[in-house]
Amino acid sequence: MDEDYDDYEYSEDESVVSISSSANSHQGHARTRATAAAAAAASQATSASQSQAVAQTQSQGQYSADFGYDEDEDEDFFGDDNDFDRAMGARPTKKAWAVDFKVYDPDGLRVTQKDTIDRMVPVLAVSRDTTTLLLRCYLWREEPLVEDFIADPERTLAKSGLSVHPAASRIESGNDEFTCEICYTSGAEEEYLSLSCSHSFCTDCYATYASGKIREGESWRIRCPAPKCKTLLGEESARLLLAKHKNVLERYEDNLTRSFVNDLDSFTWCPAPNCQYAIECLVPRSAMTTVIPTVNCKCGKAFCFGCKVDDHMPAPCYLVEKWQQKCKDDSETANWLKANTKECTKCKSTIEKNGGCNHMTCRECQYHFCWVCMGPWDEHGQQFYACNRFNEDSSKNARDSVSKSRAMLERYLHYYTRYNNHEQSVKLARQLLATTEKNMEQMQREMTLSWIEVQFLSDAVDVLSVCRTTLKWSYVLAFYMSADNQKIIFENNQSDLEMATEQLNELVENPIGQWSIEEIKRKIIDKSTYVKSRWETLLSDTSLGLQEGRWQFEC
Amino acid sequence: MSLALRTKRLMREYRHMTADPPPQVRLQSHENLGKWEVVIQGATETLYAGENFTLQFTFPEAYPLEAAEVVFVNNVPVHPHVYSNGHICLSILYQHWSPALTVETVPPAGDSNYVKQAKVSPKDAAWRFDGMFTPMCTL
Repeated sequence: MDEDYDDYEYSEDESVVSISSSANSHQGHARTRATAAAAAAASQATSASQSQAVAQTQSQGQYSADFGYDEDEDEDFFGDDNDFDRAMGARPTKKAWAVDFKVYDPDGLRVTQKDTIDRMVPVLAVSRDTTTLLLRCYLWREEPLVEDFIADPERTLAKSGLSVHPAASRIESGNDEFTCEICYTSGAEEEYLSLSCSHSFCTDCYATYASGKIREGESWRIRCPAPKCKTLLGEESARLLLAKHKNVLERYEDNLTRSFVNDLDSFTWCPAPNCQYAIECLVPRSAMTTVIPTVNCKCGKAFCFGCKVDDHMPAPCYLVEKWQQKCKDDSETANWLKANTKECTKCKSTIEKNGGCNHMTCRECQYHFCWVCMGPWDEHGQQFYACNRFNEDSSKNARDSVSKSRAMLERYLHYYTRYNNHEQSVKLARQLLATTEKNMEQMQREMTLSWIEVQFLSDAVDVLSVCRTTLKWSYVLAFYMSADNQKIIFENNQSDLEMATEQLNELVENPIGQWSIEEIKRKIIDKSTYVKSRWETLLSDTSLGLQEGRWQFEC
Repeated sequence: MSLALRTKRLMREYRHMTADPPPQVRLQSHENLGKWEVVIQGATETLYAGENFTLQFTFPEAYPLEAAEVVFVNNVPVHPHVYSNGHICLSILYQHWSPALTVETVPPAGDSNYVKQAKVSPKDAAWRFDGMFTPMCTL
């Protein structure tokens, strides 16, 4: 490993670790120093060639693991998902900001429903169809269902539009008395179906009725067609009815799965267009002021489970919501106000001067003042329309009081501009990816490198866009954070990440230049590793800080 | 299938309405099978005694799976669930429609209780305010 690199890397790291661990005592500092040194020694020992080692880990998907894309894991959930990686020796322990979640495809969802039903059938000791309906009526909350059912089975069933002994659903015929109440067909040859309420309708009418409801998006909430009858059409009966209508039946199954995900608070659909995966996450709503449940769908989308907004770490949901509202209401207005208006020094009404002389009369409070020096008009005496009183005490005071309220606006714009810059940069990063691909091709052609050897460039761009997104939201957090020492620590972390990100951006933008390819590669890989470690520091620090209640928020 | 069902069903309802109509209800005219006018007599001992009201039924193609359009025409009764333009605020005519409902069973034609719901005091009605200016009342 390069000596130079080593010093640079860990000396920087050390200083920040000591800040972020917020240990003011010497002990704490000494400990982190020791840890850093040990880590440095260890990494020196293990990696014969720095760039080679990093390049390998990168291509092994280390990056994706670090950033939380659980590509290899389908079934693992809650803690035991580290087994595979522990065996491989690749995965570090769980990050402070990571939450447990699980991605389901439509088949997985069906299996989950089936498993729950299988578990409940012996508990309730009613038919499978009835159990399914009960579970759906209780929005899959097993405990209340079992409690209610044990306390009063008949009432529980009746409440959900079911009866204790439902007739086995089958299509019947051969009843002379039968007349369908919908089409008035009668006769022994007519096939009909009736639910436990014994309202019978011919199968054609029933199927048409159910198909209509299914096309409207209904699934298990379809009721018996008789007026005021609350009996629900069970899944078995629906499947019997729609056996001949394959398309409708498929739609029905889809609707069932859809309602399963919609009915449960712990499930949500991935908001990416055309994505069919659902995510389960057990972080309760009440915890979302301190935890940011960012989940990564298998389609590649990273979003917040709580508010379905794209990944907004490190700002918690309620600040994000406030901020977005504020931006919607204020941003353009604030810019315009800043450029075109002043405030009445007495009542702080915002005033636009669109003509006339400098003698202003506030419409709100009837205060007379001078537009030029903002001081009271009386003191201008005979020198109307020619203000030369800039440093007069009273006009100075007036300006000071105005500047306070302007400062609020300035403050907002400070954070908004930076937020917006990073947002734009994330978009630019996508264009950068296209340029990078071109660069990669060029490298492959000119330097006879293999495809795998130039992957470091696109990996670096990935790191860039993730870091930019985090930086973007870090300004939202900073905007609402009260100014104190803890905020300074946060801002140091933020500025370190920002600086490193910008440097990496510069390196990636123009990789073919004065340096040799090996040098560029080493520089970019070193820098992205460093940026990534800064990113981790910022995120683990903020997520711990939120949980500890380290910051005061003004909102 | 659906048009045949509609025709069959309406023919049947038509036979019923002409042969054995509910009390105080009669089918007045039908331009074609899809548009009926039904006259109801105001029930005695109510606000509506001595008056006749005309209900217009328009049957869509998907009838009876889709609800008929039912409005009062000409003489619109003063009733908490009826707008002055004749529209009726009644959920079973819209989202709670059931294909097993018929002209005879749909209130106000089929349900004499319907007219009794004109409460003397507005405080006795259950009001639901939809937005600022459209008070609606529920059954």
